[in-house]
Amino acid sequence: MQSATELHHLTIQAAQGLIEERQLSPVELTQAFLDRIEQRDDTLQAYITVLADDALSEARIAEAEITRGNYKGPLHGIPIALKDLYDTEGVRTTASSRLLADRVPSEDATTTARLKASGAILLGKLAMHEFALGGPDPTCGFPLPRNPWNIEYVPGGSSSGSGVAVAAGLCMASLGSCTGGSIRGPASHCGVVGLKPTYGLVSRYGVVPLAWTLDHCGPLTWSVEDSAFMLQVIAGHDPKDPTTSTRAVPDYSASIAHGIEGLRIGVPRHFFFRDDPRISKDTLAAVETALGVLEGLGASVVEIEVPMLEYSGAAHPVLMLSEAFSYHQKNLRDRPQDFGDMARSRFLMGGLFSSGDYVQAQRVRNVLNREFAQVLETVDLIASPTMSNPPGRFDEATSMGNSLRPSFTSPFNMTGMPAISVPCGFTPSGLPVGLQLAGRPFDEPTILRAAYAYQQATPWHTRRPNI
Amino acid sequence: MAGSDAISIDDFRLLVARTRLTLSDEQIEVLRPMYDHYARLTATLHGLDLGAEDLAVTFAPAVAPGHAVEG
Repeated sequence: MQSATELHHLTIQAAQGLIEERQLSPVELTQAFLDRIEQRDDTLQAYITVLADDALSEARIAEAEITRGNYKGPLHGIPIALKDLYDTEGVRTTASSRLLADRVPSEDATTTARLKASGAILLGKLAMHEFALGGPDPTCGFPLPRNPWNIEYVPGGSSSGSGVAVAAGLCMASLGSCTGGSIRGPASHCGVVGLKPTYGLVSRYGVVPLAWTLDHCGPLTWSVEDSAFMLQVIAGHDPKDPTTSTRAVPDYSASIAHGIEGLRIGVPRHFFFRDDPRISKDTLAAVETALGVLEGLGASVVEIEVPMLEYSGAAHPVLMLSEAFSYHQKNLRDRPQDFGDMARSRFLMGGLFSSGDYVQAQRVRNVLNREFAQVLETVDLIASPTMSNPPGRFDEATSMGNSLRPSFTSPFNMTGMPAISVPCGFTPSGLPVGLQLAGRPFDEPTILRAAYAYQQATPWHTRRPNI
Repeated sequence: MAGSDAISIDDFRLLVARTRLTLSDEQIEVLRPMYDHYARLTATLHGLDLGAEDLAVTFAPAVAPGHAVEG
């Protein structure tokens, strides 16, 4: 049996074999993570709620099931955590907002229920930007997660706790949610893997919304194969969410190791690599090197044009904030004092757009979608930096901070295309950088295959923060 | 929302009043530069000629609440 200091560094891929062979006890594994949370979370602030007793109880049940020969699959006995906007029956779900501080759902979100049914152990609920918007706001009344690579820096958001908890070994995997980059951003800033699946692949039933046409649910993990394990469980049609697809869910692990020989990767350099003082040269250098690695693995990297990308940064906030205002307007009028300053100001902004603004933004979205569809007839994937900059300092964070820099993630929320962020290096000051790979709708297998090939050829996913 | 010049405080108060929100002077002062930032962005959207074929609002009668989307 491995020591507790090593258990929190295991990937799901490594742990699941040990659990299935009964060389590792889910109870011991869960206790190791609870100990780790006890030791580190005062500093890192990733959790809002820790479910120590429930988790140990679930772990004992998992152990008994496995001992009886009833092994359910790769997540059986694996300790995970959820962004605190996934409903959990009988467990407070706050979205990091005073408005929901006492809200206890009577039903699980569909994703929560599917993870529980897979045998995963729920360690707790993770801190986030209030209502998945804004920033690390000291006025929201909830914990503000710290980047485990350097606690003076932000971990990205809005799934901040989801990124921190995985990176720091406070859970083996987490779920985040993503409206403009809230899974890939924390993954990039925390040096882990974050997957935004295709719009409609994963149910959003029981997940507190931000913007209905842009919201996605997905996993954050240490490795690409772990991402496939998580997606396998949460993907698929949900009668409770009419936006989910009825298409069959493939085996996401089946082709993950098949390599990328002959894969065609397009890079819209005019947008992601443009000469812009708001884009970090360190980030571009790391991603440029990553593109070379992909070529070395047999892929061809070609330059492509997606002209409407230039307008995505103008259209996305109109869509997101207008829809968010629609959802929150009653509370903005009746209980404005219960919002944190950052979220309230952004939501209020959503009320100031006109209907003409919203429709024009939707039209731009249509053109962007069409341009990507045309490009994806000639290439298999789109590659770019995940974020235009490395993490910023905590004491410099503002509600508008991200809005003033180019968003490299939100175009794929607008189109609904799947996109993943994998670690691809570090800045000279030791902060992680992410490589983003996006693909055709419902072609997660190709994205996972390319991300896995890159991961296997590089050491970045083996680096752990010294916290 | 359109235009690239900073909005006057009186015009901005009128705009906020249209939303039926009650904001303090301090909140209005915080919000106004944010509005100006987004006004510049939306002006670029309205400057685009997308052509009549780029329909944004679609209606698919087969897709009703509780009715699954294909694909």
